[in-house]
Amino acid sequence: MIRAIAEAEIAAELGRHDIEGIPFLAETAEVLERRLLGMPKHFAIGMAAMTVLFDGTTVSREGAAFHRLSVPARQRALARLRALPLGPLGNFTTFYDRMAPFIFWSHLEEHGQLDLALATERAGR
Amino acid sequence: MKRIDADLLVIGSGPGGAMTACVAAEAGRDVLIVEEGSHHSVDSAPSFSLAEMDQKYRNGGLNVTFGGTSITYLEGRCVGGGSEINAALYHRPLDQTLREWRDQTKIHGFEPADLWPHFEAVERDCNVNLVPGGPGPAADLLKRGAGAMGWSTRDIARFWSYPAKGEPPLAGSGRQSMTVTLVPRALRAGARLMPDTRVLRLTREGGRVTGAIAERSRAGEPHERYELRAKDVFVCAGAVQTPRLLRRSGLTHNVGDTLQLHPMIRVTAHFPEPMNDLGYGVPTEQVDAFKPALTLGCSYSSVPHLALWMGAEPTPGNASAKLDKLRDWRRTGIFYVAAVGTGKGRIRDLPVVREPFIRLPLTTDDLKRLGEGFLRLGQLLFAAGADAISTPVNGGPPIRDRAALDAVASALPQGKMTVSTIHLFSSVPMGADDRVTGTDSYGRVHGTTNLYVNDASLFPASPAVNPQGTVLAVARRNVLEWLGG
Repeated sequence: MIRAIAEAEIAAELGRHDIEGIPFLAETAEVLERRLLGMPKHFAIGMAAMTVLFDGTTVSREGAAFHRLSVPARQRALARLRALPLGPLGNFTTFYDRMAPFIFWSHLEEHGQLDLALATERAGR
Repeated sequence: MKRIDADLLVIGSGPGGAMTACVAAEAGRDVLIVEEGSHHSVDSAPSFSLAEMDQKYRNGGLNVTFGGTSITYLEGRCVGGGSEINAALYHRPLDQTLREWRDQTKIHGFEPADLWPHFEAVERDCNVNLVPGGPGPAADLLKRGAGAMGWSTRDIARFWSYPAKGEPPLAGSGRQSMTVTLVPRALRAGARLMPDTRVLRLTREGGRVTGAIAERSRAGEPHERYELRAKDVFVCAGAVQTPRLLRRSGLTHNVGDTLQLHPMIRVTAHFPEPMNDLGYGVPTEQVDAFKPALTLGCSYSSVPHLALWMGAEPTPGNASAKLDKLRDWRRTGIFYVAAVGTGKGRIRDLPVVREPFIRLPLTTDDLKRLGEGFLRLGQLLFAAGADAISTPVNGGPPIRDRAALDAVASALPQGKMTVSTIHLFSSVPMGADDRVTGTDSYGRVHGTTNLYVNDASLFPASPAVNPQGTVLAVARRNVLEWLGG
């Protein structure tokens, strides 16, 4: 599920609706999961529970659990979630919206691929 | 359980603990420093990187308070503590601030003139310097915008070493954190250091503390329990961990009930001309026209950090907008508003999970103050030539004119902003008025004969500036008093 969110977030970050050839997706998801589980336990438990619950919320509208959806459908589901008045539960979307891009771009930077990615990515693929 | 004896046990090796240990060891005391985190060199990972967060931040940097708006706070968890991960900015607080502290909790021996020799020692011992040749283009831009508004700015010194004119670059970053300055001095003077060791609780016989029970945990090795015995104990674990340890040890009088912080919001701004040069590190210019209530400044603005603070693209269907913004990173910077918070937080340990639960409200006054700060920052950035500023409200559209700026700044919403801080203090305030303090005027915990606190927990209120310089100066004052004045 975390991998599915990370893929949707990173594809959107690059202005894309697919994940073909995007590097460091597995690494981004792995660090994202580690970050989530590394939070104070009461917070991590809440975030993990919300992640699991969110997976099921797309069934009625999109016909499948979030992690089984196409990347564009996942991006739509995330956009709908962001638009909800979630109050403190908004931390859920904020965590993924901010940490996934930070981790992804950090990997590119660490491996010297930042300028290349910025120069060669083409929006709207 | 192994036993280790020392004259002085120092718990925590951040600025408060490092200063305490260094001064005591150089005075000939047998000092044992215990640090929960690991011992890394100052340049073991690039500053503000993912790797650094893994190595040196508690919980990878993701700690949160609860209240109307959750506040993400950062704590160092390594030898050197916060000095290894912060922006290394150095300030002396205003005389007015120190006098207010003195009067608020009746601190003895706390005239500004009493403190200045300690600040001078800190500036000398920890290599506090201005950036030679100026602080860089982002800072220049901040200065230009403030100048256009008629507001004063200041180039802030840092705990940093720079090569002398004509000399080759330094081998390392130049950061003068505790692992570069006071910890090595303490070790050279004979202090012992136990990293990777968490103090579970203090041991007491009535009002006398006899030491602590600690557990050492290193990767790939079995956990080891230690009984640490000492004649005196200084707890210097920071404004969250210090009160937690005291409370776990049964010491609760005015402990962990008054945590305060500097809530901070960040926005990105785009300019027509390049202004983001990462070679300068953290831009060191700050607007000081609104101190002590508000500080405006610039942050380190690498692409990963820009991506973090931009968040998700708020305009549905505008899929390439964020990528375009990131491509233009040299014309984009991160700017912040830091306020003196008015809320007070309670720190408690949750049962079973043994994690801190901090309830700290972002008050209506805080929101107004942050809104005023954001308005000023927006005015400054537009005056400096910005053509778009992101909103501090999660998911909101970018701000392109004064009317939109006024609308957002006048009504910052509770619960819809990303608020963060690295400045936490006042959780065990010092002073002679024991109705409102947890320690006496020199950090000795009420009801004990030999237990001291010596970190930012002691501040009666906000220092209104980056706190590290004040932590070091107050710690030096207190440990010298302990040694006999």
